[in-house]
Amino acid sequence: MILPSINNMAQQICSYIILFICFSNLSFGQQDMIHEYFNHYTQEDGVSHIYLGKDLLQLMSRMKQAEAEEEFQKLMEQLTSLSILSSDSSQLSDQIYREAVSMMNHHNYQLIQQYLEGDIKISYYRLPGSKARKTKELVMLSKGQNNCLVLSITGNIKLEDIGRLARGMYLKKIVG
Amino acid sequence: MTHKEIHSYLEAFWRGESTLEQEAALKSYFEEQDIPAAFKQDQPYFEYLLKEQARKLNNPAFDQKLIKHIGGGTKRLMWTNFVKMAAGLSLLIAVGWWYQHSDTHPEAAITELQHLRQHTVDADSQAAYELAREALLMLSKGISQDSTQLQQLEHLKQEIKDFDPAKH
Repeated sequence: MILPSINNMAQQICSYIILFICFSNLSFGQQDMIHEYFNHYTQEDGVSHIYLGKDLLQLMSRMKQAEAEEEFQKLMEQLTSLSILSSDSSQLSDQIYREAVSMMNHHNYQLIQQYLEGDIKISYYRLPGSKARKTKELVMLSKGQNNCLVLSITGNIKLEDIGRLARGMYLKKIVG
Repeated sequence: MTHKEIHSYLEAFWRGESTLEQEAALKSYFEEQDIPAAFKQDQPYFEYLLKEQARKLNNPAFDQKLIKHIGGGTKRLMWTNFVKMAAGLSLLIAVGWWYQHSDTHPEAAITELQHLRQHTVDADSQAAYELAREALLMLSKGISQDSTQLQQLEHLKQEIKDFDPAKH
């Protein structure tokens, strides 16, 4: 009588573990938004696309650089990808921008800031991470009259660390 | 029972439509010694059924042996299943763990290599570093509301074009 109950229990445990593995693989398999949604534009004329993956970013974070680069390298270490999609084709730019905004609105990305610089509209979106104050993906959309740029970084990102980069550069200019 | 009844029961029996009561009546009828010639051809079959039904085992311990045997087999079967499940589970966990923790997933590595091959024709890792640096600095300037962000943006666009000479 004990054996069948052990058997049933083992089967249940197996089922839970298999479900856990499946779901955890799904979440780990998530790619950055450019790869997931804009990969089909990368072959188009008038579109430039750059992708730096985790391996390369890790390598860059360990490259020997000047001391002043320490903040950049620390940040690169936190990243799992950096991708940029840029277009100077008027028609494609409109299309890419519209799709990007629609995608952000449908996938729980939070708009963190939006402003106009001359005729260029710049928006920042973030996808919250599992821990408070962490960001899984940060996306910048920039749209001019005839061009657009989508920049995405993924990883375990602290927005404060990104903000610190520019302030650090500014301070170095004043002090240096 | 009348001949007519026997005849109808037998017809139902051979069609597989007889009831338990009809079958019991037929068995009881064919136990008699003097069966009319009309039903003689069916008699051997019913005799055989009666004989098989009456067969008894000579070994009274047979049931116990059989139960013991089946019980032992079930145990072995359950343990075999358990071991198989454990092995399958270990394999799944190993594959899941490897997939999540490995920095060099074959698919990801191939995709990354393809991208790098496609987009970094002449670029070395230092050029990639410069590009990543520019991108991060531009993001940072935007977040900090630095007025030089637009210059940074134009600079980055130019760097991307230089980085991707096949397109321009």
